[in-house]
Amino acid sequence: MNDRVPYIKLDDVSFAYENSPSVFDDFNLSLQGGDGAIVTGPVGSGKTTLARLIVGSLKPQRGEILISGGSIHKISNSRRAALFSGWGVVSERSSLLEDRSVLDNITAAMKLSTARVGRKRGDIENILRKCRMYSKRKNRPESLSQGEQRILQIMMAIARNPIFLLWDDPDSFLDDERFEFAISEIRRLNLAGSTVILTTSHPDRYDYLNWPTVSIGGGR
Amino acid sequence: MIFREAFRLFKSTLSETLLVLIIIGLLLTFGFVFLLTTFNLVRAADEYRKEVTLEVFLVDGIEREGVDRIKDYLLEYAEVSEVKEKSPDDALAEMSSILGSDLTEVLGYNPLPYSLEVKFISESYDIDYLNRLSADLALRDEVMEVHFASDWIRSLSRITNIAVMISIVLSVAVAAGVLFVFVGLHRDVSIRRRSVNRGLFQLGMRPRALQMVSLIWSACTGLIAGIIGVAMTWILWRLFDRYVLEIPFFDKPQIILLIIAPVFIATLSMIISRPIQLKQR
Repeated sequence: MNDRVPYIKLDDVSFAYENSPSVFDDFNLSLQGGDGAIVTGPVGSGKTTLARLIVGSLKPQRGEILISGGSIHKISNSRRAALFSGWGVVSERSSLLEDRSVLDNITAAMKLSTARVGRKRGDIENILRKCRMYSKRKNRPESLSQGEQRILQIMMAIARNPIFLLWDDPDSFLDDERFEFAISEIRRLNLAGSTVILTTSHPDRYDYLNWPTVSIGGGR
Repeated sequence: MIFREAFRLFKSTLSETLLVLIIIGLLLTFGFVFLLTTFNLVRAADEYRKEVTLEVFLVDGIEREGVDRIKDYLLEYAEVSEVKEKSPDDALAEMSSILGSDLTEVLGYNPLPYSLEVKFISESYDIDYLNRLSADLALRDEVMEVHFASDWIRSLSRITNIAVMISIVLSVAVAAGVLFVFVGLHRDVSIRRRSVNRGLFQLGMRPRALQMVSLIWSACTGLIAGIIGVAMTWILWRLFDRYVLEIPFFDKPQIILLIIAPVFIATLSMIISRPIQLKQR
């Protein structure tokens, strides 16, 4: 186990949206540094909610979400930002930087990373080519399609060499070629010590990763 | 990273910012022109005040010791800058030059008394002080009469006070106007910037760093507005100075103050606008 990698633990977490049935009741999940996990469940089972709980944008009614032993909800915004600087989060709620180009988004993601990634401009351009985004490197996010915005989020996450990567719903928006590239990069990161959580409705697509699968739904 | 983000923010809001800065620059120009007018009025009044004299007419036949005594007595006052003796002969010569004829030819003698002209340090006296000093001097045996242009001093003080008060009120009004326009700009930009701030936060930029970006940007907008205001005032002053009346411009410390004031207002405006909201989605 790598000491740099956070230890993520959801300890008896219960959560329900206002005036809605419970999404989680005493839910537990524990990941050691360098682990990979697939969280699976049908649509509406709470996969995105789980992702939002982990990044601290939702607060459970009971239980705690511990990152490296500290509760994500009890730390200051400043410490949370420090935590995020080592993370890569890909979800429909991740904000792209609208005021700059695709290339500048990736550059900012790298510069704000605690990993101080050794990637050079050439490496970034290589990733852009592999994702068929090189021709749009000067475009702003608003001019990209949903799929292109999603691949930009993935490129930003990958470029940071994150110690923890959370990808909510990898099956959406990506064509096969981009999907294969993204998954291969995530596998490489995991082998290098990154902790990875993927949330999906199609766990069979990820069998070859040999990661443990956590099923959610039905309030558990 | 902070300065680069501040520059990026400035670049991405350039057209809107420049338009607002021109409006603020005009507001500041209006204020600065008025301040310059007041500044010159006060300066002119100050020059006049330096020339104001208290004339102390001494009793007839006063001895040299008596003149020296009253002179030493006056010089003990901290507010007194100079005491000048005027002998009856000097006074006669002065009067003759004004009237164009010699009084002694008519009267057969010189009726003018020995007198002292007392000058003051400009900022250290007012009409009440002169009245008190005159009353005090009038009680002395060496003094026959004390005279000063009380009406003129009173008018001068009144004009100066009114000008200063109007300047203060107008400065506050202009500062409030500038603050109001800045708050509008900063609030608008902050709202549009919210998603970028959220994105930068999610990527690991600390809230304090995000605040610094906004503050640096706002301080820069204030600095540019200040420079525009001073530059436009300078152009107007140059035209006035050249074609109407020669007057001095602000001195260097005043110029620095006029440029720094909008920086302070802009920074205050950004703090009021509460730009950083990191609520995540």
